[in-house]
Amino acid sequence: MWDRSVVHAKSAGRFANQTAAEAISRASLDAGASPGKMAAMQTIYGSHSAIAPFQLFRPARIEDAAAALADGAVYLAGGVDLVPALRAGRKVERIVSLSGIAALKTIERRDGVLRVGAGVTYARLAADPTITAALPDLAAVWRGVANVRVRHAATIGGNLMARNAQYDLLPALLALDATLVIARPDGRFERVGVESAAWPEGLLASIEIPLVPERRFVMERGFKPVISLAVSAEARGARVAIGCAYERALLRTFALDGAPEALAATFACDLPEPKSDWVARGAYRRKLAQVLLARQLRALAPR
Amino acid sequence: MTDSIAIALTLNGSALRASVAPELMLADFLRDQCGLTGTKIGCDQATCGACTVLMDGVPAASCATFAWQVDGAAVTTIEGLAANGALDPVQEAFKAKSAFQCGYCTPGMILLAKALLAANPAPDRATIRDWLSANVCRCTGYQMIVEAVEDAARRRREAPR
Amino acid sequence: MSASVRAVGAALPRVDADPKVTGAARYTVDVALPRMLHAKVLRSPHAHARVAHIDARTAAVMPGVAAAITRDDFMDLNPTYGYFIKDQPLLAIDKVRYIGDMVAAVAAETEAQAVRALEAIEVRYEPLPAVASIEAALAADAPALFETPAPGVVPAYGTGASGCRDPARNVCYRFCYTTGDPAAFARADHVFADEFRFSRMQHYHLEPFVTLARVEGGQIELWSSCQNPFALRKELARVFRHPEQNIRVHVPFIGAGYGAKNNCKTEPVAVLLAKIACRPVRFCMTQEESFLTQSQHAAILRLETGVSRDGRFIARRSEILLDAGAYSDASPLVAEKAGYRINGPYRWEHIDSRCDCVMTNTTPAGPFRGFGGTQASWASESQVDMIARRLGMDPVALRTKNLLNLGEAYVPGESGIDSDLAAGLDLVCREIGYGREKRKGRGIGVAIGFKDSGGVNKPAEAQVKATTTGGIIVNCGTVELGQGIQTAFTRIVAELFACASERVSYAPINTDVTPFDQGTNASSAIVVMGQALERAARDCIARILDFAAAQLKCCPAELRLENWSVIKDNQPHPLAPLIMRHFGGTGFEFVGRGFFKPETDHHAPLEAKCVSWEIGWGAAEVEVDEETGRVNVLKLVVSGDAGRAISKDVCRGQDEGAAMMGLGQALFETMRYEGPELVNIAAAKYRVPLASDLPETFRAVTQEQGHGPGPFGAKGMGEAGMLPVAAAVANAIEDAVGVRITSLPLSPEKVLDAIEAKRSKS
Repeated sequence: MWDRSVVHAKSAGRFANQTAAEAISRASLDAGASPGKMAAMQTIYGSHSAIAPFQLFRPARIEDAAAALADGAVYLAGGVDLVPALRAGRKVERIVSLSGIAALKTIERRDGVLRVGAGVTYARLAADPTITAALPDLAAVWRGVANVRVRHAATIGGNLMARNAQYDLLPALLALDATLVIARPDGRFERVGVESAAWPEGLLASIEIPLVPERRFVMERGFKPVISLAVSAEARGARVAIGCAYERALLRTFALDGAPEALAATFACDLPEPKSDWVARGAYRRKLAQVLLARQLRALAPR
Repeated sequence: MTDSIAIALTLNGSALRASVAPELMLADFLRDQCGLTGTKIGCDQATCGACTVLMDGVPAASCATFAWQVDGAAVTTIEGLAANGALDPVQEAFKAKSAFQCGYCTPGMILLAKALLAANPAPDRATIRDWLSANVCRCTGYQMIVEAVEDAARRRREAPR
Repeated sequence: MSASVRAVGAALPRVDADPKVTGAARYTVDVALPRMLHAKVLRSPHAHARVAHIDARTAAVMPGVAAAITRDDFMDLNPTYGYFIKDQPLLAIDKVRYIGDMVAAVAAETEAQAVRALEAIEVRYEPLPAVASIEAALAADAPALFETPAPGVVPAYGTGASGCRDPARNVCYRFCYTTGDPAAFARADHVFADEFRFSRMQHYHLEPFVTLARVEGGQIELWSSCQNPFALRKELARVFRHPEQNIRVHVPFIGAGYGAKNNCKTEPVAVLLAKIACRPVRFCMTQEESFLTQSQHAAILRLETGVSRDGRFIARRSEILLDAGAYSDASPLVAEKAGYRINGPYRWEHIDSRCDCVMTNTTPAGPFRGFGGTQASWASESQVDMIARRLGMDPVALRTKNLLNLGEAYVPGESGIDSDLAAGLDLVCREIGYGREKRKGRGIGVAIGFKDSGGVNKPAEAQVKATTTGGIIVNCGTVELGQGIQTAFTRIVAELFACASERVSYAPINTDVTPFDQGTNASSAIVVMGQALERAARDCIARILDFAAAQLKCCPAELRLENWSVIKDNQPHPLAPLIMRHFGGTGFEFVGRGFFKPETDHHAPLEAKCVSWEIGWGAAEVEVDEETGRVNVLKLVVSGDAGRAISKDVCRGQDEGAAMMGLGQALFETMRYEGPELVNIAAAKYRVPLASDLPETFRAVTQEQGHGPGPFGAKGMGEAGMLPVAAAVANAIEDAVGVRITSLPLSPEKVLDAIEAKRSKS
């Protein structure tokens, strides 16, 4: 979901004679946040029983689902992010269910690339034989994500497209140098590197992960929501992605040409200021980045 | 007015057909339309697990699953466990070990435990704790629930159903 | 008594096991009535604002809407409610005082229609400056939450205790307690002054606040998830100016409360909507709304403690500031308890404590498991360890030196402690392995959580019925909220009747027919209602024996009851035939009544000697990661003294559940406010303990020291397990890495900051 920014009524009398909604919007603009990003302060708490009616479309093909975007459709796979949003009052007129699209659930290893359909669940990412053979490190990490209920419902595509700084797939894919395959509404498929700032509009169809010989991957998730750290390492160097500590996961690459402690110290020192929020201060996040990276690099060091 | 969707499912072992609005949540379908109030709404945000039911043997949050999403599935609620007046081994274990207090999380916990033991008939403590972390219990502090799951595993081994 | 009927202490399932493991158990959320409407409320987005204008007329005529109410619909109600102070409005009147304050309500055919209607309600607010912390509320230029004091009472207190209303702006109540001579401070070799901060949790009861109300034919009838139905009835009678005998409250199973579900929450809105709509109304809050309805009290505690150089406690002066939130709720009660319990289970020559309820523009704070004792134990047991280290003494030795003895009065005029405190301390020290060699980075800490239990001057009445065929029905107002009281009470009665516990049932609670009870709280059920119940059972048995004696033409003293027969000269005489022979084929029922209340006593500080004392001994072993500040609790042991465990599983479960709540508070669980906005409202963002948070070794050891005033020597359980945990963990951290954290939670960031500060100082 979205990050909630703080709204205060900062001083008396500024908002006299306005409706509550106007007062809130004005306050949010004053707080310096863009209107698109703000969530209005909730005044009504609906339950699952008060979700506004919608039309449901259940296509069987990727192309039909992608084309539906033109009509303002919203995608539903596991519902981990959409359902809470609907419950919180988001009104959606048309929902496109992706569960019936077999092409989103394929897993294939070919020409040194592992292609995983965006509709693959966490449970399959952790246990599918093709994946455990090709990327055992990623599968092992993914066994511990969320809980058993979520693992069977949530999809890797949903994890990415939620654009939630707390979620784990983006840091992992940044470390693994993945490529996204997106089905555009006009029927074309477009590839974009996961680290690209802007992803083309469309339906995420699959994720391609290059299988680099000798590449190892670890992810430290034990300090969430303060910070998460995804690290891949092979002869040429390391790719380190930091989650939770910035608005969007941050990727850095460097050569493995020093002791883990020295590399981690330089890495942490060069980081832009991590965010300070109710979870932790930026300075603490920076310290953890250093300590945890040093530990990860020591764990990855060749014996 | 949105179009109703026809669904066909197996509910606690019996075939059932229904016509549901797209926005109807499975929890309301079960509680209000089927009269099965054992499934509880807790946090209503798919986090606490009080609303857990089994969909094809897998734990699912019924507060965040639409009724149409169980079309073609076998759904099990807490009411579906006891057979011919006899409690399921997991229920027997929770009863024997007093692994509940207010009881509100209990249907969800029992179904979660049932799914665990179906997937792993002899789980170690670490596995049990990992699975049980899907559901919140505010009353018990979990230890007695862990022991009930171990007891249920033993009961299942001794009298498999 | 033959072994076959032994119920007390037997390894039997709980009486509520079958309903709860099969899903058949009914809670208020499950109750439905024909033509029932669904209620939703509109809440304030402002922490502090005048309600300049509100208009629900458009909402009232929207599809499916049967009633839409605002302050304009109060008619001749008394529109405010509360415990001591009636300051909380049914719906906002002139102002809103916290984000989430209710301003309007709608009842409609469906929840979705109610929500659509609320969206159409026009409200114009004039925001006012808000105060979101104790310090801000007490500042010289702080805005006042209440311009004029609300109606309310200050209860009578005994020797040394006093209370007063509105001693300062934004302080709604002050409780003071003093005993001994202030000159004692001059005799102390050291006076240590320390400040502690206690965090704020939400109860997170899984069943929401919920009520189903029906107003028909002059009768107000409701089903509510409410811990104190009689108090609720009285308050509704006052609010609605409606005769008490025409208000009926039913309480099914409660899906937990931990103190939140007391007095008015959903009920007044539901009743008013039902009255106007002329149809039953169900008002069920979401979990977010729970976070906007009730919380625990955050606190600042300043302790000045005078001790002799050899570690004898001499004098303590304490100033406690509770964050009461926007309405007084039970804060005066919490102030009483915090101010009274701050001294812990120790002997003092002089005590001077003061506790203020500070109003802030945040969620109203109310009773939360162990209230007053949680804050007090955190501060007091932390400071005991700090004093020990400053004096170069072992923390356990310092405690032992000052512990009250079994039977020793807590303070002058008070009852004696009914647990051997040293024995319990010894037990947890042995369980945790106190004093053994530890690895670097590991530490052990102990603490003794302490509270009075049994409520204050609390009355209770119970009734026991026996049917022709020996079915026993327990009828009393104690609510089953998971604590196992139905199990405990039915077993006690079974023991007294010398019958199998399956023969005893627990009647549903209906204020028309259930005997009076003040409320299910304060770990008082076993020691207060339990005594009333024992008297009721004995009264019932006496009537049965009188009857049987008359039938058998002998003296009642020659008879005893067993398995629904009277035994005379070792000959059993079944009662059923005796009864039917005398009363006819339809038979009869015997009814016994029992009443209990501690004697009012003006020498006792709280107007009656405390019925019992609930002690929670706790010990923790931690490992601190000095690079990240992460604290790993390797082992946690808590122990409560049940006096006599009516059900060992129930006692163990209560202490373990309480301990995990305490562990969550110690390490991570807290309501995060940024200004007056609660940023981690409800499940998705509010972390509560999960099974993965269990320490590697976790045990609750139930002691049965046998000194309790309840039936068979029993004592209350359920709160004390929470009280020592935070201090035990903080003490263990100091033992491990030599840093003292005086605020909760003991987050990794705080611990790391403290470690680095210590490193840079040396």
